[in-house]
Amino acid sequence: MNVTRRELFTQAGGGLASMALARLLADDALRLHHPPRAKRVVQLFMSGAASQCDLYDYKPVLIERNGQPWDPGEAVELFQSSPGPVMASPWSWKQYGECGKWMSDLVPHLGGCVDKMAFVHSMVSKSNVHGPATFLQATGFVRPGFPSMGAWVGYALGSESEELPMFVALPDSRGFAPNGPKNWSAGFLPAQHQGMMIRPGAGDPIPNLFPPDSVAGAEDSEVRRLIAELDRTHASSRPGDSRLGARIQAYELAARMQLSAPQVLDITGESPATRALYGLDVEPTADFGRRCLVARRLLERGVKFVQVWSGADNGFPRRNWDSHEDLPRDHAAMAMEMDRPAAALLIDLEERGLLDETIVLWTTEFGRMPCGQGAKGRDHNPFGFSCWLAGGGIRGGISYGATDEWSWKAVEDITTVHDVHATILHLLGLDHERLTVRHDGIDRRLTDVHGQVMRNLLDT
Amino acid sequence: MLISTRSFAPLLLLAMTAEEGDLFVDRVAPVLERSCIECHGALKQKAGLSLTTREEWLAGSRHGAIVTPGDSQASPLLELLVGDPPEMPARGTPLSDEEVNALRSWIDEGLPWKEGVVLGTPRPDEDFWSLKPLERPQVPSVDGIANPIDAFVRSDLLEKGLAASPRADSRTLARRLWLNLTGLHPSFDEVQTFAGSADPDSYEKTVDSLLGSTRYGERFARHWLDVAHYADTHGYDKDKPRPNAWPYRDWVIAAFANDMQWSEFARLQLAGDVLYPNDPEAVAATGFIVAGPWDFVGQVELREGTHDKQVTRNLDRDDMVTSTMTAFSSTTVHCARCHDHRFDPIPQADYYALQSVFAGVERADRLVDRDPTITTRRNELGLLEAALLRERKSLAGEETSPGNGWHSEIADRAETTKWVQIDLGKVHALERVVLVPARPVDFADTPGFGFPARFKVEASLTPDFDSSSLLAEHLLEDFPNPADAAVSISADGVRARHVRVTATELWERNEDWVFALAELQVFVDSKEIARGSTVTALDSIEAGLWGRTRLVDGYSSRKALGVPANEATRTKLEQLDGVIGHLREESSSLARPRTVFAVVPREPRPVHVLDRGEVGRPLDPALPGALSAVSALPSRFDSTTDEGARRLALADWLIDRENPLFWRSAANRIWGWHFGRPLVDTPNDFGRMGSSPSHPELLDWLACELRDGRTPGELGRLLITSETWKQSTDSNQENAVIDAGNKFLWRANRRRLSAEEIRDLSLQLSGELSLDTGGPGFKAFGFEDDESPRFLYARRDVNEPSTLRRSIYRFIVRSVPDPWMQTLDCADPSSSVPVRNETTTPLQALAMLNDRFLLERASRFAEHSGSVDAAFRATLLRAPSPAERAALEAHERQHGLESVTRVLFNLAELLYVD
Repeated sequence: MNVTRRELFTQAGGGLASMALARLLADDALRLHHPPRAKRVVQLFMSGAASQCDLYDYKPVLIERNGQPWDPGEAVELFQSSPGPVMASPWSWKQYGECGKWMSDLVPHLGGCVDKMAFVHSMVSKSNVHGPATFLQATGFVRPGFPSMGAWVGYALGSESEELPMFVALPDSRGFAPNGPKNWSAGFLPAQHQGMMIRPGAGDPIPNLFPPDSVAGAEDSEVRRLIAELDRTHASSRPGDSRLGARIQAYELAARMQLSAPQVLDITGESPATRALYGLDVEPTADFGRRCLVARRLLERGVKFVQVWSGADNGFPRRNWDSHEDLPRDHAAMAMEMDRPAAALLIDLEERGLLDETIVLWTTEFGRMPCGQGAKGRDHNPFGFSCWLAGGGIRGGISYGATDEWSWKAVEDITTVHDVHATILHLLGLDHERLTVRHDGIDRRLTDVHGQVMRNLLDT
Repeated sequence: MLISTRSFAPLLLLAMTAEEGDLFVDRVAPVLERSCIECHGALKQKAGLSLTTREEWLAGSRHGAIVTPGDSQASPLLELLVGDPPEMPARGTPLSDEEVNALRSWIDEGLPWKEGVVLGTPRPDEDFWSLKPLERPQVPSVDGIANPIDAFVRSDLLEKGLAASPRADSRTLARRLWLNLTGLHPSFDEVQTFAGSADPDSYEKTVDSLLGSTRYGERFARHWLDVAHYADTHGYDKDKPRPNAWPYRDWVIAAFANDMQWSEFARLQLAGDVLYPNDPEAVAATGFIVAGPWDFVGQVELREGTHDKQVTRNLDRDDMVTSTMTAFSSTTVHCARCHDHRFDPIPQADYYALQSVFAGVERADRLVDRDPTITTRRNELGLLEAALLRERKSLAGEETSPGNGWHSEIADRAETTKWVQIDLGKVHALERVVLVPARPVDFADTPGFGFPARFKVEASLTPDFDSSSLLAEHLLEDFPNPADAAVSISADGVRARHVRVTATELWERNEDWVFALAELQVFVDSKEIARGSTVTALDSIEAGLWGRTRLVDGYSSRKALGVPANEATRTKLEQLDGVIGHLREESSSLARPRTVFAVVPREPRPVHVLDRGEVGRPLDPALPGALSAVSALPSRFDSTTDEGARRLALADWLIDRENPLFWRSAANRIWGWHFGRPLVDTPNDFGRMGSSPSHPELLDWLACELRDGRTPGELGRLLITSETWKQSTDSNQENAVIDAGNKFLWRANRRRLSAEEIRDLSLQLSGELSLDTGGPGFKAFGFEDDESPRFLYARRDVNEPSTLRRSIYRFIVRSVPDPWMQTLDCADPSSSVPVRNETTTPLQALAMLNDRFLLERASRFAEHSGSVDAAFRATLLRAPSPAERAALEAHERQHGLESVTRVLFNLAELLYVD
């Protein structure tokens, strides 16, 4: 990248952020259904199915009956295997915080944040298969073609920053989760609502942000100027077509994005304390830590929704949470990458006064079985799993809903992703039943025809 | 307005069908359906109250009666409706005084109801525009107008007080024509010839030549493939490639290029294989039905008999039903999967009748021979071979294995001792011992699974092995993993009752260590005697496909073991193998079939109407059929178990002269592809939630033309030779005041080029565009098949010659779309895209300015155009103005011609079509 060009864009880009902000404040009032509690969302997505009974859903009976044949009293239908014996978590448990929440030793840093978090232990999924279930958590539907929650939020709230997109996705550096970029698709919403994929730390974090090095900075700005000049002549002889003006503006915004995007990704100015908090300089936290930190920087600059992925595709060796063969090995690896940075994000947002207006959602596509698969794996469990929320109007230090004694089936306050989506939209000032877009004959909603705002999770 | 208040569209049909002045039908029912039924109807019964029938009105709510028939004063309901704000409706606009008064009168009259009406339930309605029987409208007579298109459009313009725009200049027209019909540019010279021609028929002749070209087929196929949501991978998790999907894409191109009748176009896509089983093209046409996404994990990896398997199949059929009915009849039947359609007259039963049509369709590769005798012969050979293999199996016992074998518990280090042993029941003189390595079927495929690196084999008279004979010893050096090869150990007639294998260094699984064997065999006098003997081990896993008894069950991890001892049997087997070999030889000498990803029929699976769309809540069985709303046609077909007959019946139902949806749907699409905007601007939805036609009579006239034999190409010719099509795009103040959106077509619509057109034009201008047609799609990405396939666009070679083809031949990946194409509003093959979005974003500007592929094209374009003037003329099909020339030449002097071509690629004048 070229220093001269950067300097040039610095001059071109000055003084506009405040204008954008002013416009936003005016617009927000028009678009919202009720006064919001939160302004932005960050979704931490554990791909492959993170095990509730090894992280947050403490069940003493699994320890008592470890290794005994498992008989929950009804037929068990599994994705891959026949149910093995009861399998206690390989990790031990202790209580954290004023609320006394039981957490496993896999997530000690999150343990330190439990008083900020609201756990939902009664999640259920409509699908037992990674692809559809991941779609369900991301878009509210088990099939492709629907807008991701971030696309809906951007669509509803509009942009606070013209130079950055409304919705950003930060995939795992090892690859895409099942369904790939379809998980942050705009579906049938216009293309600008799709999540912009950024790969912090990669050689080319945002493809096509800059021309290749062969193009000199001076040339680049001349090219832009000339396009603008010729396009203005073209537009002036075609009055009444707003698209032509919008196009000229889009090229100007692109120039500003070239300035602001590298700034947001440049974490060299972060303090040593912050670097340590996120675990940036040590393995295995460096990658997820960097992405959590970039998420905070994006949110600070007006991005409305950031998706941070933990876990890639279902290849071997395992690079996601899908621990069919070896839970002690694979869950340990994934959790150690995730625990410190996720906690850091909560702490950092709070210290900066942002947590109040930022919803943090930790989610996964389904859970894992309390019985063993093979010697030390766990199969899929769509009947009961956990997620948690924090910040942005969420009451901290609570656990909502429950699974049965085994951590198998949700039995109390059964919760679907639609309820989670409805609650998040509610906190953003949106009524999930009124945020609709007509597509092929149906007024589509993020929550399909379901969803109840989870009032017990709200802090008022 | 970004957020629309959720609207429960009132069912106006009641008002439309009833006789004048019916209080209930005209004034009460529409209000109830608009404001009350959403919360007090079939879907929700808030406060226990439903208002869909008179009986329900009388039953009241959880809190008691809501009305006293004949006495509005004594009816609690009315109090809820007035007040500021009124208590009801809980959401939406309060009732007007007039509406409240209507309700009051209706209660006073004793709640008169219309027989059979259930509020909130759509009723068949032939008066709704799209369901009305198709009748040919009179072409309006307008002075001096010959083209019927112009006659319809002009008569509307006159009526609205709008003036038609003048014809566009010939350069503009040439560019519009070429791009509309071929998706490519004319050359500068072609434009000159077109503009300068003295021949009065030159326009028509140009149209004819363009319509007759393969380029037209390629351009229009793209429109249809958007509707069909075609792609070259399955989608979802593990997005596997479909290497044989392209024959369908080529079939669509050929169908447009050869100007196939629309009815034939539809019929072949739904049942081409039934009609012409030996025509690979006709079979490929059914690629339409299977074009959509398919969940590999759910379909293949998920266990049979599970709930999720049923869900997967249900959604798979849903995709076929949705796709077919959306594409060919512009109806939203998929809204009736969980309950009756809430806005259109489509009962849930119709939806499942349609699912039943597709109940025997699998999406898979299919082999097709051109010569049916070859198919017959191949089938005969196949049957013979199968019969011989069955015989061989019964002789040799080649059935699938019931288990993997024996597996020790898992150790955390390699140097762990584990043993397993068998008790032969009595003492034998052992000839040899054979260790058959495991290859589990429920683990990543690994031959030699669990075979120890170091081990010994002993034989003993007693089970404690205190004194034993050592048969083999590999304790000091690693034994190479034998993979699938059995390891045979000679025993030299040693007398023993027990055989033990002791591993001292285990096999590494996933950073842990195990010992496993599929089978332990012992031979005495050439006969295997270990089968069924007692197995003991230091430790073992007894779960799933593993267990001690599996070690001596006569099976490897995959199949039965052993050659029969009987010599006669062995001879017989050899003979069989010889014959099988001959059969296979002949089979492979037959002309190779074409492989196409298409419908693969099977016996139809039973389909039930599903309560709320849940597979766990089946109601009545559903028999094949279609929409009861098309009342001129029978809505149920013969309930045949013949899979193909079901699809053929649906095809014939669709293309029937009496099916108004089919013909209107087609006419509207063809219009949209030529004019840039269809007459009904929701081409996939002709229901109440969709738009109504801007020119209903014109639409019907076009539909009749198609129905009565005009082909899509002939219809297109009529459209683009109309003066309406040739108008300028210029705006006009007076017209804009009346019709700013140009609904009535007083000018042409300016449009932005599609992603495909931009890419193709860049190649055309750089002189690199290959016009090779057909065949497998080019892959503009790096590919790794690592259990889950990975598609790596960043890794592509932007100059790879095989990729310099028209974009229609792109290999389309569902899960990871080409980011550049996607930024430019390319269609998402997840679902049908009838009209592309046209967005304007900063990311597009970056994609146009900085994409390596485009920069390379700009650079080659500069090389071969040689001058600013030549490059400008090729790009914009006109000479530059002096000011433009001066600006561009100044830029060239500083930054070179390739920077000028980079500018040209980004100009609005190139990217928009006037």
